[in-house]
Amino acid sequence: MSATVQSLRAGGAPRRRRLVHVSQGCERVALLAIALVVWQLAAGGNRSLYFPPPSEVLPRVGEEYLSGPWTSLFLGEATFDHVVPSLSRMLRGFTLGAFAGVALGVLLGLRERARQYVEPMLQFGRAIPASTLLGIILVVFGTGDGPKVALIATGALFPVLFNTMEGVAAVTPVKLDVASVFKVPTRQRLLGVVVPAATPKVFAGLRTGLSIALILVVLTEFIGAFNGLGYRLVQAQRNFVIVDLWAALVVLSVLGVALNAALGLIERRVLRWHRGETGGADE
Amino acid sequence: MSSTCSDVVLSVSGLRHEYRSDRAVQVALADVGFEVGRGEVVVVVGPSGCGKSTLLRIVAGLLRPTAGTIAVDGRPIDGVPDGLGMVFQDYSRSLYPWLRVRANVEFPVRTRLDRPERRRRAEESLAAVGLSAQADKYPWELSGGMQQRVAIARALVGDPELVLMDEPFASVDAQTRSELEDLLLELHGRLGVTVLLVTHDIDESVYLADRIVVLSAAPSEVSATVDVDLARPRDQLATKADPEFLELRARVAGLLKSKRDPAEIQQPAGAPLEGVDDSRPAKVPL
Amino acid sequence: MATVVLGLELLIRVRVLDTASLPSPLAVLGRTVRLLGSASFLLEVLRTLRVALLGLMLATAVGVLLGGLMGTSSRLARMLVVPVELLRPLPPIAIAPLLVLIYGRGVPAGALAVAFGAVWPILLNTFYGIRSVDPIARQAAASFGLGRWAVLRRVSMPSAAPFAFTGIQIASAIALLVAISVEVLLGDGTGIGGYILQAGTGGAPLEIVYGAAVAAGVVGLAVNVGLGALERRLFPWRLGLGR
Repeated sequence: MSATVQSLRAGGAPRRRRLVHVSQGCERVALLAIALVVWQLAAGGNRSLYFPPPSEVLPRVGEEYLSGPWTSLFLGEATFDHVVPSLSRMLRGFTLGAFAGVALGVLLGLRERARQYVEPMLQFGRAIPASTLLGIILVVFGTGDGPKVALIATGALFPVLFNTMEGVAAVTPVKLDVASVFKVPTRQRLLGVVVPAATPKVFAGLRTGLSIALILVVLTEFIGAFNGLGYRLVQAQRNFVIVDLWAALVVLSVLGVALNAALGLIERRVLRWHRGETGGADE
Repeated sequence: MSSTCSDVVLSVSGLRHEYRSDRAVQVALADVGFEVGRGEVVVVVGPSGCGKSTLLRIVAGLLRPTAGTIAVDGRPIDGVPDGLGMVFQDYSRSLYPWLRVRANVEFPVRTRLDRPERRRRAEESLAAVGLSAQADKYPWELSGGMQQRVAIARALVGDPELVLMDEPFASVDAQTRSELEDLLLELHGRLGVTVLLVTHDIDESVYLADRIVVLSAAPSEVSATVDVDLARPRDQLATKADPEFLELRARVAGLLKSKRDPAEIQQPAGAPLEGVDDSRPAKVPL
Repeated sequence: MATVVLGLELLIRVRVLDTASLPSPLAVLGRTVRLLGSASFLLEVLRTLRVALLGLMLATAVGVLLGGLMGTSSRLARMLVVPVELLRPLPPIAIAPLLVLIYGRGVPAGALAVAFGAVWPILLNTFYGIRSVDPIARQAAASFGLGRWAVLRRVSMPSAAPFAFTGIQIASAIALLVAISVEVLLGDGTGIGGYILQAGTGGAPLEIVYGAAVAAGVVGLAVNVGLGALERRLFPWRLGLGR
């Protein structure tokens, strides 16, 4: 959201700016509001089998996922049965893959020779679509949580790895020269120069990794799973309860938005300095 | 004022550097040698592409020369010697954008000094270049001239033996350049730093230097060494109007055009002019 | 790379690594080659590619159009930002079950799911591409008397095209991933995903399962290389500018 929204900010004198702000704010939500209204009207009148109106879907979301006692933060059964396991798997896989990706990426980014050695395999690994591995995972490793997390980690690893490698390799030589001339010790050079300089690219990789992790957690829950949002989707499909399917989609969407937003917040905080840097001197 | 060197900080002799590719060998530096005494400002001047930056990188220990010796404080260097400070031409890339100004200046001594001492030194450095008020800003918030001043402050924070400067004022506008030149002279006068500066600007070289080393085009050799006896402190207007300044300037310009020192060319008639570049008529100022 | 493969082979032979889950790499490679030559496998590959391609084409049409419009009109961009940012995080295969319900187990469901996933990188890259067109270039064109549409067509679009193409490259990987994922979901043996799943659950030797995955990787690489070559032909000036 960050980059796109920021590029559309208003400018100008204060009072005029406020007016413009309000009108722009309206424009932002306009389409969404219109879409919801149209959908409601269309589905309400001529009841479409596959597109239940928001007036049915949203309450269902509340029923299933938000209807618990205040002791459980109002979260309903379905939340614990499905949202929590999905979230847990995804987070575990993502953090595992991200850590490995950054660590390997830094290592390989710095050691030219090691990179040349390993690169063909990595390119190859990246090219294998993670979903093909699902078949292997199920057959060989069974339906437990572990293999799912492993698959998610593998999927998230590659974009993080490649972006980190690129980021590290692209640190402008002058910055490293500075560290050399001032005889800065290696550890300081790594942590104080290479990592910060590579961070923008690393975050780009993390963003991609997050989307892949989301795709994979849903995928791994389609088959050979007994809980999770992916499972819920398939279950609703099989039982032909469309409203439940849509409810799960809404929850999944909210989850995705929330996770992306969280990553975006972290990124903005860590990269405070990057926004000001003009012209991409370090691109 | 003759060079007050009781000590030789830097000694370069027989320096040669070649760039090898699959197809050819390019000789950047053929045979370069000079000395820099303590407290001196030595400026290396040469045409573009003559290997001035290569020379500086070799002295900094960033590049290993094909042949020749570099000695700092009498000891031949192996890699980067201790006690160096360096200012690069591209300040926007040499400063670290993720660090504020103060942190940038502290960077060279981060692991060597503890926090209070570090801060004190950094503040001293910043004060010396007149940027105390900007300590909490990010580099991109400052103008080009100020950024280069931060780079200078950073180079000085570790109390270096020798400060290397690679065309430090080439990327700023003319007015800022004059200000920075004067800043350098002021720092030199006050702190007595030893400076080896590389530039292609003739005026700058004469204005700043105690001694000028003129390099020929690649494969470079030292065409001549010109002593600059202009009085210090120097002034942009007064010094540059001084006839001696003009003469030195002309001499250096002449040296850059032909390999011969015009001062030497004023010899008894009949002495043959050897080694003059025949591809261009030598304009020898008399 | 060869050394690593041989190293693994050696370890397997010497039984240091467990063969139950990890078959000998050479056997896997052998299978891969055979699969790539076998008609039945290639048929499935083509099925997958067809779905991926259709979805990609749809995504390109929509993505370039919307991204381009958003790039030129700030107002439109503001209106579309919220829906885009709300829909984008949704994993494309999540809508697959719904699509299967609506369209049954055929190409349309897969292609639409692919399109849903592939459209975002194309849209965003086109958007950024058009926005990053040097305003000076645009002004120069306008000063030559070119109207708004002409400027768009002759300055903005050629400048933005490489960005859009990058988006397509990213999207192609997603397209393949989603297409195969949908096949896994359908579980009826169609496409690469279906093939692997059936081979795996049907008790075929492990080498086939791994071999098929590797073969899928080869296909992915081929697509990548193909697109890269296409990029070089379409945008030769990019090489000079650097990325």
